[in-house]
Amino acid sequence: MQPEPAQGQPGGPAARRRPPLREVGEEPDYRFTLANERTFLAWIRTALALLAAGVAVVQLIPQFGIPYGRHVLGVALSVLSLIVALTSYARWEHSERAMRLNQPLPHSRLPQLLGWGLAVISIVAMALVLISAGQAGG
Amino acid sequence: VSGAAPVPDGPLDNEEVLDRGLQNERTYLSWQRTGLSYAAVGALLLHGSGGRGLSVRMVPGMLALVAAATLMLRAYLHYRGTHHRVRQDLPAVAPRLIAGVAALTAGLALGGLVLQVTWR
Repeated sequence: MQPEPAQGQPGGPAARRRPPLREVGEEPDYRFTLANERTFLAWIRTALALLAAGVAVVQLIPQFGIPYGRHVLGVALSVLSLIVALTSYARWEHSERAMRLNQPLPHSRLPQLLGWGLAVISIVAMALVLISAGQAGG
Repeated sequence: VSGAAPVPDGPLDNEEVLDRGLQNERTYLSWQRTGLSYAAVGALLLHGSGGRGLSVRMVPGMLALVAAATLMLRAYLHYRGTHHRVRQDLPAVAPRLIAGVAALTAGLALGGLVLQVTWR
């Protein structure tokens, strides 16, 4: 017989590990579970779209006048994609856990980070285009 | 018109949809869109892998295309599975599938990043 998973033993590995999702609280309405799943998938598609944009910037658009200009934009978009992908499971899991425990859903800073990140990338892209146009004209 | 569609009660045939909000169907379509996104990213990554015969640079693109095909097939099984689990009052949550997709996407993003850094 396997020992029960130890909970609340300070310092031990079991104390750091949270109990499996299915053993926490009670089963929520399946419609909420599916809504959470769709939100997770929307974040995954966002990560994929950011990655596609990053790849397209490096490979498909013409060179800027500034060396490595395309790479800077492409890598920034891909890093955003990586952040979204890496945090997606934790975000889904925290929401599901909160639903099972009938607690308020956790707040995420990722929408804010993504908004600011894309705004900065857009401004840098615009600056690169303007500088390249200026070099070509002058 | 009420906001949330109540789950219909009484005897139901297995082929009947779970609720009037078509939650399971919308989730299925969401999985399909995610599969198509993988396919689009895979095509782009393969396009950018150089196209000069087989090389290790093709791995992220191939991985994305295989993931796209797997996901689109798996989506239907997941749809049917959810349907039956809800009918039998079993949990609808699928943590392993979610974790797999998250890990795959992170791996792909990392692969894409490496391709870009090494692109000439």
